[in-house]
Amino acid sequence: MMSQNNPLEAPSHSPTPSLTMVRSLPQGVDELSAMGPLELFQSQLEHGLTEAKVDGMKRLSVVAYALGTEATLSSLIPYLTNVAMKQPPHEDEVLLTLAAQLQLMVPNLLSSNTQVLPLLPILERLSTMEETVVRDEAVKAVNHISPHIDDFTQLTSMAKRLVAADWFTAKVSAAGMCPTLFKVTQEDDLRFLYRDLCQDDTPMVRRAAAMHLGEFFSQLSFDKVQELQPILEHLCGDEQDSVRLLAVASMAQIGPKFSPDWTTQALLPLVKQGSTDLSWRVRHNLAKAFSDVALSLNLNENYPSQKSLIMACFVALLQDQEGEVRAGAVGHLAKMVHWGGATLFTSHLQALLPALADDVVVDVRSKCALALMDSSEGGTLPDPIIVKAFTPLLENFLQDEYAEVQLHVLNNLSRISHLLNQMSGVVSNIISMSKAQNWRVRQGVAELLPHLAEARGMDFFSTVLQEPAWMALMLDSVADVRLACVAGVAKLCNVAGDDWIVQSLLPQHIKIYDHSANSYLMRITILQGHAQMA
Amino acid sequence: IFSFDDPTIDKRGKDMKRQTLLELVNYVNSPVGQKIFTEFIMPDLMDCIGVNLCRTLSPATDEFDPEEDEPAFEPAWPHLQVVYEFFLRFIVSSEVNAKSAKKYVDTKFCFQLVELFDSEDPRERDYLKTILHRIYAKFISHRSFIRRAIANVFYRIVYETERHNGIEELLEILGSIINGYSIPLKQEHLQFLTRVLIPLHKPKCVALYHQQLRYCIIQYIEKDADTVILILNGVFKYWPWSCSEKQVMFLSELEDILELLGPDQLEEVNTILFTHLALCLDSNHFQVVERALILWDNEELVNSGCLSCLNAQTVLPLIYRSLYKNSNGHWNDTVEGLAQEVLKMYREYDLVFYDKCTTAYIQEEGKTKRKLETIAKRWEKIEEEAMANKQILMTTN
Repeated sequence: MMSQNNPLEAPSHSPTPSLTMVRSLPQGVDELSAMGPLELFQSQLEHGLTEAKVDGMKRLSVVAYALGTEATLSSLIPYLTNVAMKQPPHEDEVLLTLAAQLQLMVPNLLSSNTQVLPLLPILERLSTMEETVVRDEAVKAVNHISPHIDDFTQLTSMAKRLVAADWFTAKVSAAGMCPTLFKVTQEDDLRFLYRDLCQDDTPMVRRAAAMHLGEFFSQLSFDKVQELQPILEHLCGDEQDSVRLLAVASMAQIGPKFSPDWTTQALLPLVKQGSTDLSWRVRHNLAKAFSDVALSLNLNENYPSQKSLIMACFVALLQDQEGEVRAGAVGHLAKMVHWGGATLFTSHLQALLPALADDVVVDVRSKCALALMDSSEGGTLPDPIIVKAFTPLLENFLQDEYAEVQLHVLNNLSRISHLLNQMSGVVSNIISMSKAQNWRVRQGVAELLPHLAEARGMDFFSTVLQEPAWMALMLDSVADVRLACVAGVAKLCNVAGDDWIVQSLLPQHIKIYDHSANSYLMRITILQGHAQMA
Repeated sequence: IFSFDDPTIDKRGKDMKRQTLLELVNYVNSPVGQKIFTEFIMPDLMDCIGVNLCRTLSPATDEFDPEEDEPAFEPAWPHLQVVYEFFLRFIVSSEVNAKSAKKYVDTKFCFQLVELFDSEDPRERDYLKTILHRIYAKFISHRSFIRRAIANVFYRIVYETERHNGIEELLEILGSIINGYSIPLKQEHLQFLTRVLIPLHKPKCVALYHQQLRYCIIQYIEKDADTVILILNGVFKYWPWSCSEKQVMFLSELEDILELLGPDQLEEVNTILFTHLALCLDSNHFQVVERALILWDNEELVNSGCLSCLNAQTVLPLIYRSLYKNSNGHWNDTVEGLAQEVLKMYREYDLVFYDKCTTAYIQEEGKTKRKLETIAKRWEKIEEEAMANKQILMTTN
């Protein structure tokens, strides 16, 4: 792919001609060396085989810059229009490169309205092509150049023609272009066109429309959105589940600008419908975007019943039959906790946690562990609740057979270290984990121990933790674990104070140093530790 | 409806349901039992079947390689199978006539059936195939809808996701549908060929259903010989240059198509076909070259088709260079031998012409190298000019 920042940079970006390509060109050596950029370009496109054509097309922006703006407009662009309109069409790779290269010409070479306008027919043609990547690139190109165009009627009539085409390819491209076109032109007609797309026969078109729905709606002002609201409902109730799932997720982008009154009336029922949809795919998609959707509804304290309704929907997703849906929903648990606040947490979510923590699917458990850690931050939940609700779960997580789950908890425990005082079960688990099989777990423990020291005090550390855990980890066979210990020594110093270090830790270190004549690695570790202490 | 996720739950209930269903099937298998298929009972019957069958399929197993892994069998099969059996008896039964039944076996239901083809369980797909085929045969008014639904599924495969488990079965049904098309082919059917079947050559997983796809393509050619040109152009457009396995498959398909290529159509595609074959012979992968050379082993093609001596004048200049290179020092003995044989064949056709080609080739080679240097230099110069221009533009803007 051509780089977008500077296409004319090092020659390494430009294609190298090959023998096969050259063979297909009819001109002789003398003729070739005298050809201007345009002739050479045209020759490769007319006579060459595919390779020659692609090579030539990749040099399009070079040709354009070599010709300069005037010549480009007068000769190159008309030629390119013919290239694009050719029947049967050129190879897909040629057309794809054409779309990409045209973007490079704007805004440096062609910037004013009259200069950019001629590109439009070419891109319109390319966006009707069969091959998806060509179409996508053409849509990208149109979105790139349309801010430079003042002649809005041209843009609108292009959109109209695309939507009126008989095959779905053009319509799908139109769906991709509409948001940006509307942003630029603010033409009403585009709204009606988009509505037609949403009601089209072919599921492919409806899918494309649903995909860009959020983006399109976010450009509209309130009264216009109200007009188009039936479309949203229609798409959320479409018979194809693939359309429904895209429409439901698009709600995340629609809500933010509008008042809670409207969102509760318009969007809330759709959220409810989506969370109880028959097809697990729709529920899954909604679950994956749930916190964004919830946030976009803009509900504040004045709408407690609506908020608990949303929470109820979330709960339904958390208890869904399909593991994938549950996993998707759990991923948003932390955000929903912060959104809902402590009251909603105790009323709706707290009861579910044990079941989720024990779920059959590993993904759910590991995401749940992460979610618990995330939700304990930020002050939303008061400490007593955290201790009461989370402690048993955390203990279970730490004993989980999958290291991923254990790691999520370990790596984040430092955030609630001030509470560790009250979670003795958790602490004893940590100690046993310092001997875990998986080295990452041991590393996590090593990182955690200084925090524990801070929380429980140095006496606890020296009596309980030091001998079995800290020293063992310091001498661990895996380098990363030792490094974690070394980093931890610095924190220990802060916590413990110099005296303690000199009294207890240092003699131990020296003892190890003397005894580990065999392993230079151990000695290095000790030395690094000393460096930290200084 | 019982959930089969955890096999031990509610075992007794599940067994009872299965027993009841089995009894039903046995009952309708007898002639007396058939009488129950009256219109009166149809709404309830379709309700029951709809609720059991029409479900969203469970999430696909990740990284399922159809050739390697065992398919994941549907856990609810004990019930599903009997329901399918029952429904099949219903559709096939002579007691059920299309006019009355079509209100209940409606387009929405057919749509659900087509969606179910994505199931990972091959037994289910087998049942679906038979059932859908019967429905197509029996309910004439639903035919166009079923074709459109299948087309939509294929569009999705080609343009959006590339995974679908049921393409072979759907194509098998299509094969017999195409077989039943009347000549001359309707516009709708031709559009189906160009917009659906030919693009089906594109996805990576074409190996799974290539056999059935070939059959469908051949059916089209047999119905209307002119479609060959459309098909050849399409196949060349989607030729998988970067995947050698697929290329070998495409070459076999090409052989089938060429056998049906008549002299009129040959005139139109002659140059394209052999330029294309020349590129195949040039391939770096020996299996592709070998497969292309084996085309000349095909008696039909050599005696009366596009590879015969009548066509040699057009063919030889295009493929001479590649043949010569392969016959003279290819690392693979088979390829070398095959290439030499093909050259020998053309020498026997027309010696004079052969010699002319040889001399032309030698002259070309020398010129090409010099051309390459010239072109590379010329483009470098142009790039320098362009750079300079761009600097000016950026400073003035």
